[in-house]
Amino acid sequence: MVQFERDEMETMRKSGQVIGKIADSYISDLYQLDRTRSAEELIKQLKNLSLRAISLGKRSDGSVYTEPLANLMDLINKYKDDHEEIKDIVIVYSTFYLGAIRYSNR
Amino acid sequence: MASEIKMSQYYDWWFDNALEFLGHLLEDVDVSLEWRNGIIFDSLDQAQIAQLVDNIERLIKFKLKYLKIGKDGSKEKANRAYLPTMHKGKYVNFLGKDVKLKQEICNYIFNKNCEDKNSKMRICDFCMNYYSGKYNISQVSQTVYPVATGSLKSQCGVRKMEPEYHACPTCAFLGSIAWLDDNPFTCDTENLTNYILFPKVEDIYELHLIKDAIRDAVKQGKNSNVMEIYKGRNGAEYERYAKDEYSLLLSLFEQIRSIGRSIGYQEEWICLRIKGTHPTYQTRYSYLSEIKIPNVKNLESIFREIQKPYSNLVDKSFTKSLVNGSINNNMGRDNKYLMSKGIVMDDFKTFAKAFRIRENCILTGINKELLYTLISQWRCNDGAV
Repeated sequence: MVQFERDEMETMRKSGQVIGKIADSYISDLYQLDRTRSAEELIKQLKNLSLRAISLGKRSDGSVYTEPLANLMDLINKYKDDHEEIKDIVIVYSTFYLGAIRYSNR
Repeated sequence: MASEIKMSQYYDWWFDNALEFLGHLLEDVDVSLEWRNGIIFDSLDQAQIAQLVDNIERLIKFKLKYLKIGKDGSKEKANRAYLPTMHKGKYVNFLGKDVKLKQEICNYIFNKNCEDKNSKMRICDFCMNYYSGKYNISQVSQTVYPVATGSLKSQCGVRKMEPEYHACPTCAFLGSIAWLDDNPFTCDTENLTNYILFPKVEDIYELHLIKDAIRDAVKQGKNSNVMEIYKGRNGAEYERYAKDEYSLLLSLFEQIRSIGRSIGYQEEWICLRIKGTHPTYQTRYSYLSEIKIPNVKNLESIFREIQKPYSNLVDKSFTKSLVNGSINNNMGRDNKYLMSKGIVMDDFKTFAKAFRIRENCILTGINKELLYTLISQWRCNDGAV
């Protein structure tokens, strides 16, 4: 199991936050992310998510930062063989944030 | 003159645990014991045997039954479900005999005189000693050895297998009293399954020390003996307990820590899963699996950082449907199992599986701080938050 640096963990956490926010409106993007099988597919889906974030930022008042996603792509390129582990951590954070957004007021 | 009796170890999870329990019972009646590849003690006098049988009788009433509170508030003693200790409403084997016969059997076991071999003697399938089956307890059923096959050829799995096994009175006695021990167990009433954990230790004295700590830690509840009692909104008391083997292990570690004892995260465990069918039927399926904690250091650091990973993190989670917001209990149980298994087996993939959105259901109710701490501890280089 790969042990990550602290700033790398922070990148994954922040990207999880962004993806959770996007998934609140577009849940299928999270499913798509879960379904990726290779590092290339994962990066492609992250690009899609970034575009989604930009369009979401234009429509709503609050902006969505895409910087963590760009950092995450760098991170995946760095750990190409262990992209699955990065995906797992990002999905844990994304689902957690999605749940927090959906059910925090209830 | 009192002669010395040696009961040697079986090197088998069930009988070793039973032998350790017998040692514990003997210590209760003030018999001096020596733990050395088994137990060694002086033969018992009549008073000690009577007291031992009394203790066993008391335990049968206490351990195999629980106080059932009906919907109208009526209280009655009900049998603990899904254990193979009963047949048609009666206890079987040694447990079902009356006090006098129990004493006779104990007398035979603890004051063994060397009997000559004769043609009526049989060989015990467990310890390979000669015995005469005069007490009618030698037929091996799931009571004596929980993973023994049934006596029907068609249910054995292998048709050519010898469907019946026979045990000497000592093995039958040990096998039956093992049910009275304080092994951590939990019962999932939804799928009628009982999970029982046994520490897997070769050295019997070490096993004795571990089980002593467990005996101090466990409580006595309806569906589990590793549980928390909490008060509901209406003031009634409810039990909160784990529903699968890995959660049970985590909550057991928590409970042992909470009383200030330590068993040092015992690495190897045997998990016995007994699956019952509807209570009116007798059939019970038993499965055996082994839990080997691969990375004790990681588990230790998780316990150090988050004091109670099960009750504060895993147990508080619940699973909600994204469509209508209703709570999905089946999926919730599955997710708790995955999280506990991930933590115990040091497998982040399994842990992350719980967070995947499946069947339109999402895991929520996780404490943010604890999740951050857990993941940093688990996956970060320096482990700091």
